[in-house]
Amino acid sequence: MRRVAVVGVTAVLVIAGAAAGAAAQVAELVEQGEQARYSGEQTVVCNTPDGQTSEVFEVAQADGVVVSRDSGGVVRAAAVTRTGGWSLGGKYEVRDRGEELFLQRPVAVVEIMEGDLLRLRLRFDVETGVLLASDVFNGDGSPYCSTRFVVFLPGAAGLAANVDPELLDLSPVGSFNESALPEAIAGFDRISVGQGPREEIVSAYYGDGIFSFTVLNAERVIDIPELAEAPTADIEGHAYRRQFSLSTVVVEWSSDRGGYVLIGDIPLDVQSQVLRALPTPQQGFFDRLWSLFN
Amino acid sequence: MIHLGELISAYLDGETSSEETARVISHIETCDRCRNEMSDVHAARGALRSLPVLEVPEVLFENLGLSTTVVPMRRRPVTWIAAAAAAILIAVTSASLATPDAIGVTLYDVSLNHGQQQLSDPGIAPKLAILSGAEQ
Repeated sequence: MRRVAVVGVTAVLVIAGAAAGAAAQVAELVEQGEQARYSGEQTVVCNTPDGQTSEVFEVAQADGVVVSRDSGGVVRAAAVTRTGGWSLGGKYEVRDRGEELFLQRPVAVVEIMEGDLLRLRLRFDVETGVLLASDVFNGDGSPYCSTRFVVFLPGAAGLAANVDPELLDLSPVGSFNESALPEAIAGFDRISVGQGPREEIVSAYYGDGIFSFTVLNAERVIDIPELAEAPTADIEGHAYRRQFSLSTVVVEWSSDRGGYVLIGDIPLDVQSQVLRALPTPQQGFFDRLWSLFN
Repeated sequence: MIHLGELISAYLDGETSSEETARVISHIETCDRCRNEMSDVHAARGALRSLPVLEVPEVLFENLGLSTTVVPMRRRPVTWIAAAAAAILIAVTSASLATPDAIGVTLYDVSLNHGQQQLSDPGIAPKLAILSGAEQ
């Protein structure tokens, strides 16, 4: 019996050690990938309640700048240099799935597990550390979004050559409603708080090492004209205005603590968890009027 | 910042001087509050103007045995007091129930704000996002 127990403990320690090793491997690949120089084309396909969305991007990275251009010719640029190392939320576990070939290149396959749920599968280019493919899964195991490089040219700066992006710093905010933008939401930690896109709007960014989202809050309703025709999503019995654009979801609502907007790259079930943890939508005018007399 | 206040109505009525007009235009370029207020006032006026003006056919008066001659109406004071009280009650109730003025932002601005904060995120998320902005 004692021998069985020792073997069991040893097995747990080996598995835990393997998971820690895999996490360290991912951290190294992420850091390596941030310094890579490449160009290529990448597809993004997402399955949303409103249908499937897909897009092809030209992507390039050089000298700490990543640039993308979509099929409509819209170009975006951002810095990729990070201030700190990669850290993973406690609810996730990293599993090393060995190496395979992708685009005829050796890739390290890593799976991020959330309990028994496969939440994310990643394929990192072994030579450069660049993330060549990813698959995000919903809580029920169904696929949410996938990205794939279909052309990958390491060493070629492409679009990113000689780019000097104008990066805007977020102005810090002196005070904000802590209860409206709490330190943690559904397992996500608040990483930063700053000025939103307008003077009256506060913006808080949340992450768990894998996924991230931003919540905007203001005393008044935040109105995004592009969402005027967006479908209404019923989440936990509350009506939200929600729009998907590839892997990005934007949700708009107003509560008794003001107007809210959520934007992020989070799977469907995580969207529900996050929205449930935030103040829920306010009733309509006639609902509130009726409640005055009941 | 000094807001426009009643100057908004005056501007929409075309009653501002050239200096006041210049001030209004300059101010609303940077002030969300006054721009929203002007938009609301303009929309409310447009809605009122769009209401149809109906003329009562004379035959209706005849069928009802009424005169088409306009006769000044005399109201009892108590009616006015009741009407005023009802108007105040409606105004107070509406103010407590009405949705406050909205702050307008574009999807691009929201996406940009999210992207800026992602730069400080050491997680995997920025790599999954690949700048696939939400404004498409």
